Amino acid sequence: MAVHSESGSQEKKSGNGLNELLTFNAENMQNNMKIIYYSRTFLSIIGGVVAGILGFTGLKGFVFYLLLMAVTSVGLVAKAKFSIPTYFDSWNRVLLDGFLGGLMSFVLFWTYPSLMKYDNISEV
Amino acid sequence: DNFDDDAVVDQQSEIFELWKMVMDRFALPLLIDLCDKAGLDPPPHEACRPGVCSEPSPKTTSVSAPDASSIDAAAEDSAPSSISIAEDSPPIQPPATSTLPPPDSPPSVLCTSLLGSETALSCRIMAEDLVLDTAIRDWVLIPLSVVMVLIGVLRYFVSKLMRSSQTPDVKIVKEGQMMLRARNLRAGANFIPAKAFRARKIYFCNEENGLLFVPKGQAQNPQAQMFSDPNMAMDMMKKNLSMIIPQTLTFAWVNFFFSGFVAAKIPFPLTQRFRSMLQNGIDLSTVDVSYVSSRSWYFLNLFGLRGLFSLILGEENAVDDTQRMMQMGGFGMDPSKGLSAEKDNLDITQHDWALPNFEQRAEAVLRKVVN
Repeated sequence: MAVHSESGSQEKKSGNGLNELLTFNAENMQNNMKIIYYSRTFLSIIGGVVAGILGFTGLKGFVFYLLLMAVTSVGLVAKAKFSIPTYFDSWNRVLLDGFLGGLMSFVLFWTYPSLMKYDNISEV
Repeated sequence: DNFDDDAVVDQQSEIFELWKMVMDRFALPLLIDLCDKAGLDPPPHEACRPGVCSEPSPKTTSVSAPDASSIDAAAEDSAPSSISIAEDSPPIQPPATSTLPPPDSPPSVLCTSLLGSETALSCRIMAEDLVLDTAIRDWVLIPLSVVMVLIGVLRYFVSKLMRSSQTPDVKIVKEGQMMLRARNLRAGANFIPAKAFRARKIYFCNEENGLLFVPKGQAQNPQAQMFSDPNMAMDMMKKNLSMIIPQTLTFAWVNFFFSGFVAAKIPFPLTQRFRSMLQNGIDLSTVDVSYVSSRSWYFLNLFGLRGLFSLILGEENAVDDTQRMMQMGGFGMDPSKGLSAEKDNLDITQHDWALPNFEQRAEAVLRKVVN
């Protein structure tokens, strides 16, 4: 079964972060990236359903998605105890990775709650 | 004379208004209600003239039996199929939606004021809002999503079963390991003494018998080997096919069965240029671009479910073939361009001895520990 928990998984140290001589344990780095990806995907799915239920349309929905990604980034940074170089090699990875993939999932699950608004027009 | 013309025009417009009012507010709703109560078919849509029953207010109520006709000839073709009494069982026929008045219809009056609220039939059709039938949702959208999820899961398991155990070629594995060593050397170059680094560098990059040096003649070998080896070719073909075939089949299925009607409403608006892409089966040009056909629902699902697959299927995501390419590269099946690239990279690497900085690092660590 796949990893659902963004809080229960361990982020392993992959760099020594003390000076610019950074060495990276590739395997741990991959593990960390996977965790970011899972977190973002999971949150975009949940966020999509929430946006659909709340009835966001158009720009509001995308703004909501951006907010969601920002919250995810903040959460990840907080989990990494604000020392990003210890866990990742660059800030961009934490902030921007998985953005577009999550967008498609967000849009799909954003559409789902509007299916509930379908009305029973045809009377037999 | 001018005065006469104006008066005539005014009179005409007044009469038209009167006719419209009587028609909209009284005659038509009464007719519809009578038909409904008597259990008869609703009046044909020609009874609703253009301009009738339209009101450009931002709110709308549900629309059922009467459908205002629109001027388009194309709409005339699809309008009969959207008349209310729809069949429930065969999902192929497009179920009831409501069509729209043309957006340039003269603004007219409400139809509901006469009938009151006891009847569910109201004629306020908004130019923007369609109400879609639950039959669409139950028989098109949800089955399509479920089928795509199931096909993804099935494909994952099938690819797991069909993965033939391939014994990797010794030579290729050797090359792969050598490239890994060279990469490690590059990464850790600053942590070993200069002499040691140079020795290792020469060992790798020496022109005559350096490990990374591959004469041009043999350069193509691993790649040719990769393609001529029947096992590997079969594997790659199997992987590609296992991805293409379900997509093609599902797409054909969607096109054959679910074309020609509005399927879903996407929550954000797109420009008019997307209309031809998103609404390919729908021939009305006045429908909002947010209302898409089932083909676009298929594509939306195709892209959106990838994230879901990665969550429920673990790390092995059957759709993402770039990951598989990277896995193959890990076994050392890179073309030998990889070797010369490694060699060049190693040649470039300078040695910057990190030892002098260690004192500062130790100081920093000690400070942290002490404080």
